[in-house]
Amino acid sequence: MSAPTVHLVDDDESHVRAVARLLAAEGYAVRTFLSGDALVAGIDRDTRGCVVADLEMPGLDGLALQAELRRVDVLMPVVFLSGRGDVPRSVHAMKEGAVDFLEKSAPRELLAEAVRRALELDAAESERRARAFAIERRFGRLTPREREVLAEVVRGQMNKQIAATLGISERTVKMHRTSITTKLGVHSTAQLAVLARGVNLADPV
Amino acid sequence: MQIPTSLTHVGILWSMIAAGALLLGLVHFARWLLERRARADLAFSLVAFSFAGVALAEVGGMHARDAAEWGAWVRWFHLPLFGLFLGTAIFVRLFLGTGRRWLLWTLIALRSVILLVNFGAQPNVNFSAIDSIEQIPFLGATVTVVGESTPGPWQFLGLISSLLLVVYVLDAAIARFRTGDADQRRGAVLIGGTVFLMVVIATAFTQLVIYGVTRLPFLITPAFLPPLMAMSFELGYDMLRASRLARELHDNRLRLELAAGSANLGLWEWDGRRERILATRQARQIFGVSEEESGEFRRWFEKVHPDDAERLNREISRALESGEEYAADFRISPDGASTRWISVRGRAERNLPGKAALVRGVLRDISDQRRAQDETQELRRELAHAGRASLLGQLSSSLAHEISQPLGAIQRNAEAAGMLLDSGRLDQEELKAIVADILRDDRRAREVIDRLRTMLKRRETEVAPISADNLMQDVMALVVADAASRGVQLEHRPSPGLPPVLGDRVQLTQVLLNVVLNAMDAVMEQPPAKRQVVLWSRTGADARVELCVSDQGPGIAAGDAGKIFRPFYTTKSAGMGLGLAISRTIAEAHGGLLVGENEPGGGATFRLCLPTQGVGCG
Repeated sequence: MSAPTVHLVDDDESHVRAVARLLAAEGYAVRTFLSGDALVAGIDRDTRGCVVADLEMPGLDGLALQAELRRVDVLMPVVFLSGRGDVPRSVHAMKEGAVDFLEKSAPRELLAEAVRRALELDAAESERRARAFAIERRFGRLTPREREVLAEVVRGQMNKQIAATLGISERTVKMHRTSITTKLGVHSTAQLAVLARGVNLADPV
Repeated sequence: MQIPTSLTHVGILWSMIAAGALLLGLVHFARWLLERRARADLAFSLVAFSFAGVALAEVGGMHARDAAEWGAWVRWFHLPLFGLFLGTAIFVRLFLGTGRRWLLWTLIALRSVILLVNFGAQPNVNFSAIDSIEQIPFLGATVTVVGESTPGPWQFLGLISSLLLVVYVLDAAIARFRTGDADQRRGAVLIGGTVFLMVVIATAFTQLVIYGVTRLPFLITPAFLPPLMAMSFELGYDMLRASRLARELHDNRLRLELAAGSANLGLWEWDGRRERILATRQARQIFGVSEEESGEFRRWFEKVHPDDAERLNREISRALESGEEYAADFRISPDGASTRWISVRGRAERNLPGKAALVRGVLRDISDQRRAQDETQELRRELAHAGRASLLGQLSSSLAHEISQPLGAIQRNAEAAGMLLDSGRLDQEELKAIVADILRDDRRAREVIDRLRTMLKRRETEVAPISADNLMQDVMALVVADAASRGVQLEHRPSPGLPPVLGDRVQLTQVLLNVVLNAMDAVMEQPPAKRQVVLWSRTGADARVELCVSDQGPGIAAGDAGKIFRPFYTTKSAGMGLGLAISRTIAEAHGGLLVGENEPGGGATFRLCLPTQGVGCG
């Protein structure tokens, strides 16, 4: 995983260089691409950062690029720049999850703000992903029987009911619960429920 | 030799004939004095004077009192006879305009020899001896004729000279008869016939007298009276005809002036010998020159607009030197304030007999015509301008993009530079690079604006040579962004060897731009791979250059072929239908053509055919 980077896409070399210069001065790491295709070829789903793209480009234009990124599962936030105020397209872009839609002549502060927010979103997203990943790893340590017990616990069943449902003794249920809380590192049933909400227990691994 | 003191009937008759001939001779001599070109009159006066001399010599002989006196009269008789031959021969040549030169010279030489022999021999060329004379009654009088005598050894020369004269005159008359009009034929018959008959008769008769076959006086006078009358009649008739022609000419001139006046044409004429201008009333009115001062060339020329004066002068001088026709349009200011457009055309003549040079011309006031032309041109310019504005309107969004790109880059670069400066990190290399980029983007934006300004300016038409490739590059610069944003592959295939076309750069760019935008609209209906438009050029018919725009669109619909150039005809939902109509008008105003045709393999090609430098328009 690379450091968060601003990915600039614009067919106008002079413009892309100027924006890159500005964002570098703002302290961001910047990579530039002269077409949407070049961007798609140069990144993968693990690339971190955000995309700042010109809406009007020959070949893959802004909206098509956005769709293509979603298709290849790149979830970096996208900020669009446009030379003209084009309401229908900006609405469309925002619906598709664009972070921001700026005119090319927008003041530096607005551009910097948009990029900052996009990178924050990306950071939050990757943190969420990392946490989910860690939880999933922890859940992965549970035995199948422990998962069945956990699913019943999360549903709010008492030990006695769980024992009846699974056809095991109440003591065995207690033993499994102790093992579960140890493995997942939680101390209460409430915490257990919160944690388990992030994982699909209905789908046994 | 003595002039007879007692007058006989014959003496009176012959003297009267001589006097009449002298009078005729004087009349025609006087006419020649007045009109030096009438050289036939001079020749005739020689004939008439000689004829009078012949008559006097004859009458002298008839009254001779002895053989020696008679012989002397015959000798002197040859002097006017020489004049009669010479005058007749020259008259025939001058009046009929025919007659062989060598025959004429031979005749003159022969008669000169006869004259020499005549004055060298005794008593004269006709006789070697005159032994006696006789008195015979003749026309109620008693006249002297030759009696016993011996013909001279050289007297056959006279016979030959008469023969020569007859041959010469007959030849000249026949030649004139063959080629002349009715009047000339009559002259040929009359003069040729009388000279022929009378010379034959007089010669035969003279020979009979010389050889003593008949005892009669020489009778050249009555014999030559008919040819003399014939010549006089023909000359008189000629004068009559000349005066009739002069009257007709006068009538014609009046008619011409009437016609020219009603058509508002002014006629003028510059006589180089007298350095005077002759002009009709209309011409004077057009120029605002009064009748008194109209003779002076200066008065006319000072009305001509200073900007046009030199050109006009050059044109007329050229015509004067070459003797050719001339034509010029120029401005004058008849009253010193207003301006009128005048068209003049005419012809200069040089080497006229008696005249240094002559320039004739017809003047016409073409101000109204000119104004209408100017208005039409102004309208066409306005329309073309409106057309350009509308074309650029179609390109407005891509042009705005082309301008906003460099402007945006400039802004970001400036902001970056500001941040660098604020941060205190004075990275000189980076700042230099930023400034260089800013300047380049500034130039980029200005180029787009300049292109727009050129196309949008209201301007006069400026015709200059320009290459087809340059025109196409201009068009490419305007549409390349639009083509890119619409996904159209636009290609220009240069043809560097072509001769430059003649035209107004902006208007021709407009025509091509119009055609290219139409082509791009046409290919938009096609799948992306077929969205191709190609600009190319080649040498066409009549050494013109054809600027072509080919597309891969659906082509011109069969029913539209004849209509697409009509005003307000359009196949587009958003079109006014004026683009191609304006374009064709522009092409035609350049002496060119704009045609659109479908290609056999699909798509259409529009060709703008333009004249090149040195090739006439039409």
